[in-house]
This record gives sequence, C-alpha cells and structure tokens, in this order.
Amino acid sequence: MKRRLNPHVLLALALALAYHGVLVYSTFRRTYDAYVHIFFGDHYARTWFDHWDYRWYTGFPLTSYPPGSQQSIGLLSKWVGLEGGFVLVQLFAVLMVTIGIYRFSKIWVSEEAAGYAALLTVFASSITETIHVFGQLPTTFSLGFLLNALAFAHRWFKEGDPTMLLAAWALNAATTAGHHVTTLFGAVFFLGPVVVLDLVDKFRTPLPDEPPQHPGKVTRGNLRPLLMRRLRRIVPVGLRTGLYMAGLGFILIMVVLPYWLWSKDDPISQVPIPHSSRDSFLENTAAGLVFWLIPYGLPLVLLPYVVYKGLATRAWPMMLSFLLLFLLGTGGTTPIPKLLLRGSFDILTLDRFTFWATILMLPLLGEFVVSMRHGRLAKYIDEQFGRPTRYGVSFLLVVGYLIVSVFTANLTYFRRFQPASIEVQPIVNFIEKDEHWRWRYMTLGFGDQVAWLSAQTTATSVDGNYHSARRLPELTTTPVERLEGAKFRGIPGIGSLQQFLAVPEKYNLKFIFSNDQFYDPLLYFSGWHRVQRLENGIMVWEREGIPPLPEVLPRKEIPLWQRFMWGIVPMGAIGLALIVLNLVFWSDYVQRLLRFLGGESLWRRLRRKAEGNFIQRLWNWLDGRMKRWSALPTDDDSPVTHWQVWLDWAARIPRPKPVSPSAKTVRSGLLAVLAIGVGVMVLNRYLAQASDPIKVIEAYYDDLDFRRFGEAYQRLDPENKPDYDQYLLELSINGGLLASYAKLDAVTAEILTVEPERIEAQVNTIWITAVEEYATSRLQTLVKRNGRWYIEPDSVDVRRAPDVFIRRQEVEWLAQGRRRISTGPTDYADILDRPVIQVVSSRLVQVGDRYHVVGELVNQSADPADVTVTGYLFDEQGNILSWYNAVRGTVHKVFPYERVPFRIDFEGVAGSVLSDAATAGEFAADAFSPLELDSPIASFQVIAQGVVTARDLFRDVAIQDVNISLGVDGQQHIIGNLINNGTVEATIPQVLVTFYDETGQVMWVDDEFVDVAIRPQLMQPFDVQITPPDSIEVLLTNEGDRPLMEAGERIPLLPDMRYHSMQLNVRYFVGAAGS
Amino acid sequence: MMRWCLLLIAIWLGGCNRGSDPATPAISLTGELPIEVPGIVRAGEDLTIRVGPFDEAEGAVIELVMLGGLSTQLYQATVTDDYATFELGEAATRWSGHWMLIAHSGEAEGRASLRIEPAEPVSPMTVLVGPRSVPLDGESRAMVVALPEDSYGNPLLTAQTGTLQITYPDGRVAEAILPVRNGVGRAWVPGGTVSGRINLGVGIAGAVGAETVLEAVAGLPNAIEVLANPAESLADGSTLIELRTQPMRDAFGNLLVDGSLVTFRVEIPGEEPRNLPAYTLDGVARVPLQAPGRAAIAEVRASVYTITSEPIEVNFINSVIAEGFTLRAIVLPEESAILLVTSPIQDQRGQLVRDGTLVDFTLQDSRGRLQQLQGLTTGGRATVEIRMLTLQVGDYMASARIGDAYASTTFSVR
Repeated sequence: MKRRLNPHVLLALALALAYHGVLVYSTFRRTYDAYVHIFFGDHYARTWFDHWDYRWYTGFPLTSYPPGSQQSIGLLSKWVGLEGGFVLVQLFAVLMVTIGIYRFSKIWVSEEAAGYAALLTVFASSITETIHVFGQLPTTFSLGFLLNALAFAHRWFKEGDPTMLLAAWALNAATTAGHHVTTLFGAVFFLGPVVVLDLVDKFRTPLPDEPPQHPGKVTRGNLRPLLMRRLRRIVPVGLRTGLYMAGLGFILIMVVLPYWLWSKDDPISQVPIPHSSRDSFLENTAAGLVFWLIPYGLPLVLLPYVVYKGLATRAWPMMLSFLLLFLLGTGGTTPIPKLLLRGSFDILTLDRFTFWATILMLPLLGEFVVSMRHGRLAKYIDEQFGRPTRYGVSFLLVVGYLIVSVFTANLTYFRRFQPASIEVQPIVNFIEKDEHWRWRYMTLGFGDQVAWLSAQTTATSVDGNYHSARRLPELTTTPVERLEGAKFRGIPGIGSLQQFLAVPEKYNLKFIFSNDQFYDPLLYFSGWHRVQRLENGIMVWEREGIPPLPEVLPRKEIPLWQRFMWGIVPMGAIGLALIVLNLVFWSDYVQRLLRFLGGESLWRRLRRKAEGNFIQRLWNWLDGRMKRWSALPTDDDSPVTHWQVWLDWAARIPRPKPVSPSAKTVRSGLLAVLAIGVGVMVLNRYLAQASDPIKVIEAYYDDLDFRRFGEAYQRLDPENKPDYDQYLLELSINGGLLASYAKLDAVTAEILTVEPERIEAQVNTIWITAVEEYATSRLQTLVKRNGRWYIEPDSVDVRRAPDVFIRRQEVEWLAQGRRRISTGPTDYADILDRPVIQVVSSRLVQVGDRYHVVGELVNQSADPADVTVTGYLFDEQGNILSWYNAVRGTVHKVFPYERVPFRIDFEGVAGSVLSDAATAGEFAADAFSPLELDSPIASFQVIAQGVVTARDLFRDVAIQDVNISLGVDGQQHIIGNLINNGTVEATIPQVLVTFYDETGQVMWVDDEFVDVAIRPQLMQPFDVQITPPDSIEVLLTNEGDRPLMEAGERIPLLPDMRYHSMQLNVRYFVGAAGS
Repeated sequence: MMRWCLLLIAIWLGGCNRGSDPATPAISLTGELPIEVPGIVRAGEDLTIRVGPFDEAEGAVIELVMLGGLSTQLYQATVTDDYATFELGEAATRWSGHWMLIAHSGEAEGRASLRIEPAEPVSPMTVLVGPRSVPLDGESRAMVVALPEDSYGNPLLTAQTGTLQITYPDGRVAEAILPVRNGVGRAWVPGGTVSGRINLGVGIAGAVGAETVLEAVAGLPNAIEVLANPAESLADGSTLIELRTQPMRDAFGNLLVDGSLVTFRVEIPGEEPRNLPAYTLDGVARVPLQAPGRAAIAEVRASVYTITSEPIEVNFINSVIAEGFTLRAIVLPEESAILLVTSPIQDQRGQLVRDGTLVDFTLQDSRGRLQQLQGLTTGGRATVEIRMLTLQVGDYMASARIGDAYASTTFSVR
C-alpha cells in the first residue's frame, strides 16, 4: 500500500525552508555561536586531518568538540564559502528537526496532531531563538538526527525488525557526531520515555498465544502465572532495549573516540564559566526572559492543558520527562536543580533543559490544535462561549504564536547581544602587512566576531572563543570565557586581561584590535599605544619590545590513527545516516546492485543460519517455559475490571451544559473586559513610576549611561532647562574617565530635604572603568511641576579659558621604520638604537601581603623612549621566583633627560586565589591576585629596556595649588589642581606621587586617576590618598643604585610625615581627538 | 565472487612492476686513493682535482665528496689516462673556509684538505654605527663596525686594515685606521664638539660602504637662565604669563636637543611648590604659569636633570580693588529662597572680572555659626542661593570676598 504523505508535514518543511532560510542568512552574524562553528569549519576546510589549531589560546586540540556539524561546514565551504556552508547546514538541521518532530510525535499522538506539531515546530520560539539568537548549530543538527532515530528505535522495540535497529543506530551515530551531549541526555529525556512507553504498552497488551482467562482477584495460586504472563510480554522489549542501549553506548564511545581520549588524557581543570541560565530568573529578569520566557513563548498559557493531556494519556512517560526538564530549566530560581544536578549544576548550561522541554511539548501542542479545531475543547468553547469566541481565541493564539516567533527571530535587532558588524578585511590586511602575523594579537569588544576574524587569517591569538579549550592557567583559573569580553566577568576577568596586558612579552602579544573604548585607559596606562585607526573604525594598539613568535610552536600530538578516525568516522556516520534516511528513494537500486554482486543470496544464507542457531533455540525454549508457567486454571476467569479508578472519577465530574446565546455573549464580553483590565493595570504601573522622585533620578542616570540623551532631557525641569542643543553641548564637553570610559554599575538616591514642590537628594553612583572603580556622591535637586518630578539641570560651567587663540610650538618626532619601500628584512641602518635607561633607585617593599619594587629611572639618551620596567625576584639559589612589569605605577613614554618613578606590583596568576564564585559578575578593576612563592625572596633585580618612540609624548599638564590635608577617611591626602597648558584635551590624567627618604631613595609611589578631562587652559582638581609610611616594609635595597640627592622637582615634606620629600608627575591619555 | 577476485588480481599485477637494479662499479679498487689538489684557492676560482695515478684502473668510477662548513658536495668522475679528473667551477668554490676532500671507489678511499680564501671585498660593505647619537660631553663616543665581504658573501677574515673618514658637522675631517679582525673592522668615533650629523666613510681594500650617519647631540646645559613675561601680573587666579628659558647650550655652545625635558619650579609663599614640565625647542623651553588667586611674589627656577637655574621673581598684585563692590540679599518668597548677589566686581584696570572667577561667601547667624558658600562670577556678578528651609528665625550677616576685596550685608528671617 502506498503511504500517503501528511500534507501538514510538507507544508511545515516548505515554511521552515522559507521562514528560517530567509531569516538565518541575515541573523546568524548577530548570534552568539555561529562564528565559532564557522571558525571550526574553517579549520577543517584548511586542514581536515589536523587535530591542532594554533590560532586560539596559543594552540588547542580540535578533538575537544564533536566535529560533525563543523566538518559539514568545512566541506560545503569549498563550494559556497564558510558563511554559506553554515547557513546550509543550519537549514538542513531545521528540516531534520521538523521531520524528526513529526516522527517523534507520532509515537505519542495521532497522525493529525503530529502534522500540527511539525507545523508548530517551524515557528516555535525555542527553535527560533536557538537558531536566530544563539546561533547554536550542533544542538539543532544533532537533535534532528536524535528525533528521527527515536522513531526507528520505537519500531525496533515494538516490532523487533533488525533493519530498524540498524537505522536507529546509524542515526544515533550521526547524533553523536554532531553533539555527544545530545546523545547522552537524549537517552535519558527522550529515549527513556519511549522505552517506558513501549514496555508499558507491551506489558498491557496480551500476546496472541496467551491464555484468555482473566482472574477476578490475585491469589497465591494465580500470582506466578500472572507475573509470568506479563514478564513474557515485556522480555522481548527488554532484550531489544538492552541490545539497543549496548550498541548506543558503543556508538557514543567510538564515533568520537578521540574526544573521550582527549578528555581523559588532558583533563584541564577549569573554573566554571558563569551562565545566566543558572541565575534566579526572579532576580535576573533579563535571564528569565531569554532563557525561560522566550523559549516557552505563548505555549506557556497552554501549559495546564499540556500537563493535563500528558498525564491523562499514554504520553505520561514523556510528560514526566517534560516536568523534570521544566524543573531543571528554572536554573537558580529554585534550589531543586542544584540539588538534583549537584556538581554538574555549575558546568551545565541549563537553558538546554528548557529547550528540550519545549521540544517535548510540541506533540501535545499538536494535540491541542486538533482539540481546538474539532475536539473536546472546540465543543466546550462553542457551547459555553460561542463559536466566534473560539475563532477569536484561535486567531489570537495563532497570531500571538507567530508574533512571538518573529519577535524572537529579530530579538537581536531590538536588543543587541553583539557589537555592530565589523568588517574584518582591514584587520586581515593589517595582520598580513609587514609580517605582523609573527606576533600574537588580541581583540577587545568584538563579541563573537572574534571567531570570524580568526577564520580569515592564520595569525594566532592568546584569546579565543571556545572556553573548553583554554590552556593557559591565567585563563583556566578564571571564569572569563573570552579576554575580549573581560569587563563582563568581574574581578578574575579583568584581572586576567590586566595580566596579559602587563606582561605581553610572555605571550608574544604585540597587537590589540580594540572596538571598545572602555579598555582604552587600561591599555594606555599599561604601556600600550595606538598605532592607527583602520578604515573599519577599529583602533590598533601596539606594545613595543615584544619578541616575535618562535618558528616552531608547541603542539600536543595524538596518534595518527586518532587523527584519521576524527577526520573519517564522524562524517562517515553522518553520511550513513543520510543514506538511511533516504533509503526509500534508492533501496531498489541497492537491492539490484547487491543481487548483481551476489549479496542477496549471502544475506538469505546468513538469515537461515541465524534462525536455527543456538541463541534462537534457547529463546524458543525459554519462551515456551514462560508460556507454560503463565497458564491459569481454566475456571479462574472473570470479566475485565478497570483498575484506573481516577478515570471513573473523572467521568463522574458533571459536564457543563450548553448555555443560551445571550449567556455566551455575556461571557465573551466578560473575557474581553478582563483582558482590557489587565492591559490598563500594566499601563498604570508604568505611569506611576514618573511620580516617584527616586525612580526619576535612577531613570535619569540610566538614560545618561545608555546615551539616551533625549529621554534624559525630558526628565529635566521644563522651566529651567537649557535648550536641547545647549544641553547636548554641555554633555559633550564633559569628557574623561567617567563620562567616556565608564559604565554605571549602581545608582542610589537618598532624600535629604523635602519641600512641598522641591526635593534635595544625595545621589550616590558607582562607576566601573577598566582601571578603577569610582564611587561618586553629589546633590541633586528635583522640582515638582504639574504633579511630576523633574530634575534641576546642573549649573553651567561659566569658567573661561584665559586665551581665545593659542599659538604654540611643538616638537614632533617620527620613527621612519623602513626608509625604503621593501618587503624584505629591515635594513640594518634603519634599526634605531635602544635608548640608554638608567635605574637610579630601586627597592623591594611589602605593603600588606603584596610585594612591590619601587624606584626611579632616567632616560639618558637624546631620544624619547618607550620603557618597559621589569622586576625579578630570586631565591637563595638565584632561581627566578617571579617577574612582572610596571604597569600603572610608571610613565612608559619618557622624554630625554626625564626622570620618572616606577612601581612594579607583583601578581600571581589571575583568578588562582580569588574566589571566583564570590566575585564573578562583580567588578573591581584594582583587584589583584596575591603572589604565591615557593621559597623566600633573597634578592631582586630591575631591568629597564626601551625603544625609541614618537608616540603619546604629552607633558602639558602641570600641577599647582598642592596641599596636604587630612581627608574625611582619616588618611592624609595630597590635593591640588591640574592645569592643562597644552592645546589638546587631557582626557584621562594620572598623578604619580614619588616619596623619598632622606638618602634620596624612593620609598613608595602612589598614583591616582583624575576622573574628569581637562580642556586646554583649564583646571581640574585631583586628590591622591597617601599610603601611610608605616604600612610600607622595606625588604631589600639595591646597593648598586646611585640615587639623585639633589633634584629640583622634589618637594620637601614635614618631618612628621616620615617621608622626606616627594615628587609629582602627571601623565595623561589623550582621547580620540589626539589619536 | 569471481568478479571480486579478478579485481584483486588486476590490482596485484599492476603493483608488481619490475624496477631497475642500482648501478655497480665495473672495476673495484682497494687501498688509499692519492688526491692531487692545490692547498689554497680563492673563492670563485676554477679548481682542478686529480685522483690518481692508477694502474689498470681505466674506467673505474671515483666519487669525490667535498665537506665544508656550509655544504656537502658530491662529484663523480671516471679514471681516464690513470687519473680521475674533477674540473670544478665557480659554483663549487664560492664558499670560503676549510674543506675536506674524500675520494672513494669501492673499498678504496683517499683524503685531502683544501682551503678556499675569500676573494677581494666588494662594495657596498655593511657598515654599522652604535649608538647612533652621542652626547657631546667630552667622554661619549660611538663605535663604527664594518663587515667586509667578497662578492659571494664570504667574510674577509684575514688581518687587513681599512680606513675610516669622519666628517664632523663643522666640516672638519678626521681619518682613522680601521683594523679588521675575525671578519669585523671596527673603530671608535669621538663625538667632537659641534652638534649635528657626523658622516662616516669606511674603505677596506677598495670596497666601501654606504655613507653612515652619526648624530652628535648637545650634552647637559652649562647654565640655565629663566625669564618671565610679564614679570608682574594680576593675582586673579586665571591670567597666564609665560615662563621661558634663554637658549640653553652645553659646554661647547651647542643648543640643547629638541624635546629635552625641562621642569620649571614655582614657589609661591603659602602654598606647595608647583612643577611645570616643558620641553625644549631650539634650546628654549616655554610654559605658561597661571596667576595665583591672591597677591604674592613667586620664585621661579628651571632644571634639566641635575642642572638648576638661579631663581627669578614674578610679582602678582591684587586683582580687585578693595571695597570695590557691594553685596545684597534678595528674598524670593515664591521660591522659598534668599539670593546673595554681588554688585558687578571690577578689577584693578576697572574692567569686570572674568566669568568664572571664584567668590567666597560667608553666612553668619546671630549665634555666630558660620556657613561657607562659593559662587562664580557671571557678567561680573556672583550669586548664591540659600534655601529658607535651612535658615532659622533671626538675624544674619552675609559677606563676600574675592582676593583682598570684601563686601557684606545683613538680613533677618521672621
């Protein structure tokens, strides 16, 4: 009999192709993971059988992730490019999922409901989110194979057809090739219910040769026969399940065997990456939206129906699985997932459980559609509310379902999860130019586009986008997934980035491509400088004096057979699965071919042999014995009785009777009123916020933080605010660390004075920057106009610079580099000397539990120098205990004859000591990892090396009005004013204070950033807290130094300060205008 | 099954192609092979090596291996007229150094040595100088290094002597000997007394290098002299005056190199010293100095590294005429506030003070409690607002001060 194709499935496939096909091409670039898989695909396209890629994390093994979907991209990229390959593979996965849902649904619900389930799959918000927001490919790729495999497995359990078993295994192998976790968890949450269903079905279905008697009650005499009878029913299914599971286990191991061997041999213990899916969705509502509300979407309102229908029908095993997944998907909202998952809770991303739960809902949602169209629900609504109401509700549900899907697909438009698209070609050109690929690079603020850049070049990066493969302890001991997004990962994250920037020579890291000016202060004050802004707007930062990569980079080898296996088996499994799925189209041809090769007769011989073998005979004997044991006495018979009493109870519940047409109208009207009422309540709640002054303040600062200047302007007092242009102008001139390089972390307001129409509040804000965390406090006045609170605008800065037009001579430098245009090695004559740097004072001191080397150096040469100051700590045997560079405690660009201080703040490996669980997600840029030493420090050494530089040589900010006073914190402070005598704005000034003892040796170096920019000829105050001399313990002094006793810049201090004198230096970062 | 077997047989047959046997010497020799070779040749010269003589060895094949530091070369010749003759051309003798010659045929072997000397050096030679700049302090000097090579890149190892010509910025020319040792010619170059470019010319056995430049820069200044322009200014906390040095010269009269850091130190009585960084251009460093907010005589010095100038004095005089303005208290009942407003404040020249000039306000109640406030001038007037809520019933005295100028008023709260 020719099988009739379900029209809903065909329609679903066509819609899936049209809907996702059109969308995915425009959305995948803004998703989280798409470029990661493309990068992996690029690796396989370049070197299919090489298990090692040098481009990320100083090298990592590709055997750390199942390769099926990524190798498919690599394969297709030969014809359609990498992006095209990704789109095609994703589309293939969507189609497979759609067919898979149909086949899977048919296990549980009717053919018609299964067709609707396939249709619902196309627009399911969870599928849409997974594809168009998360960009997950292996999840969809493997799920499609898994769902299809379950249909074959179900038939194997039920019918025992070995071809079904082989087909199921083939599809399981493809599932594993795509994503082994899907196979692993799929066996529990998807396969488990199917096995239970088949066992229960068989348990309840009498065998054809079974004795027909049904005893009225269980007695000692009929207990064994009754048990045997049921055991005989389920033993075949049990055996089939056992065989299937054994094969599944074998497949799970063998298809990705190199992966298992890698995870056994190279167990890199990593700190878990925080994931919002583990948060409490009541506290982190944004996570709740993305990981719970959107995946379930509109079907959440149908949850009661789904649960009821699931528990009341044969789908109850699936419903139990669904409920477990539903619970696990709630993350940290309840303690139950953590109790169930224990240690795995911090490793797993729990949104996956929600995703699988939404998949398990689909068959029952298909059932809901059937019921709404012509089932009991339709009847009930027609009788109680009238048919128009049913049509209206149906229409609203369909439209709502589609709207949620479309909204989800375009979520990345409304709320950006990734930076704006970056044209990577200029970066690739830069890397290729002048052999810049000989050094490592890093990106900042690229989001997941870092993977796309990596796919375009063979240059290497210390960073990467696949955290499982991180190898450097600076990364594996921190919960930072990518250095380039370190600011989102709290203390360990930014600490880890700071270490890479502080000692880049350790990693041959020379170039940074920055797309986020948040990091500019950190880069600049770590000694990096800007080289150029590329045509795509990306700023290139460079560090001088970094050695190039060695010619041969280390790699961890695996046996050749594993490399071949990795290149052949997963793709072979996928190929086999495709053959199986398409068997219907060409099985005739295969049979003919086998017949030609004599295979058919061989198969017949084998089957004949199998039928008469020992195992078969043993089974026949056992089955015969069980059949005999299940025989009941002939007189022990009675009519069949129902044991599911709750079904009887349910049947007794009185059904509502059909109501009159007028009652239907009233009820429909009440429904409409209820819906409108809810809408009005939500609107009221929104409007009420405007009458709360604290909310107004918070909203105002939030608007400023997110650069919503229009909204912020609307919150200002309409009677006193300047015009909008003036307001924008005043905002624009307030540059500096807080205005341009900070993110508002918290704002709180406390009302100080209350007048009828006027409130004065103290507003406390905490800002985060890459170098400092700032807490500010200021008074803010609010006035009431027409019942609403408005913020009094800040007073206008009426200060005027003394001069209108400034003439000024400046010295400019240019390092030509190669004087002749050539691609060859740089000519000897074009290589500049290293400047002569003299360290005139150095000391090892301890403050608290932290070691520092402080001192002073002089640039003795005639050229400006870019200086790197490195401190080494040695033990008694002269072994290096630790080394580190001066970062924020020195001036890196030094003028001829200039004397600058340095302070080297030794650190351990970032994150190795800090408690990541307590700090992840919080921010403290000045946090550090204490140094852990194996033996005591016996000596130290300071090496200062420099290269000639012509960059960032600014010395136009001077210090005046200096005063030493006692601050409100009880500590002594140096306060004063910085005046900008130059012609460009000093965007982020930093004051360095060097304290000396009576011998002229440096005792300590303090530093402080000024949070407001200084415009030319204007002043800004500064305030540096002085480190108490009592807290400084001098451990060692370098005897060979010749500290300068007489230096004109030093300011003598009073004896009671215990510092003999001090010197103030200012360096500053010049923002965009000066770059 | 038969089809599969046929296929396997075809593959097997295809893989069984017969290869050719390696060549074997027709005549086998034993004992030591005599080698005739000149002991020394120059790089690039033709070289003839003869192995023999042999008796009854016509047709025997002799292999000659040349082992050297950079390569191994293999040659083959047949014995003809009792000798195996190897005619080696330029390609075989291009690398200088010691070579080991090994001839063998069958069991027989012979050894000899050969030295290939570099040919004449050729231009351009690689000439390096370091450091590239020397300060003119009478002590510092630079080293020039030449690497003479022949046309094949062989370094000139033998002890020869080259010449070094030094042309100083003032046109003076000096010559020095450049001895070559171990392939490197080197000599010291003193900095001289005049700053500028020093051109270096190197010649060794007819080969010369490209002209090499060394920069002589001025040493630390001999003395520093500071000037202020103007030497007297209003103490308005705003005006900028220029501090600069006279052109700074070293002991030989050379101007300090551009970009050298100079720090001006300004000491004003009653406040901590100011350090104003500047850098030189044509020997002169300039920096603006902002006038203090009150009258004072400032003492200014400049220093470069350890050299410091003699101080000069800059006189800052009162900017505002004493009693030159008044103060009023204005009640704003609708706003529940009191405004303290000064009259337009004029400076010594009779002009309104600059916008943004700081005015200190003081509010004193009848119990003597003080409240300090600050206001900035706009259009010559300074204003502060006092909320009525913060005041209690009673009499108040308000005052305003800018520099030495002062005004006050009283008001009552009922």
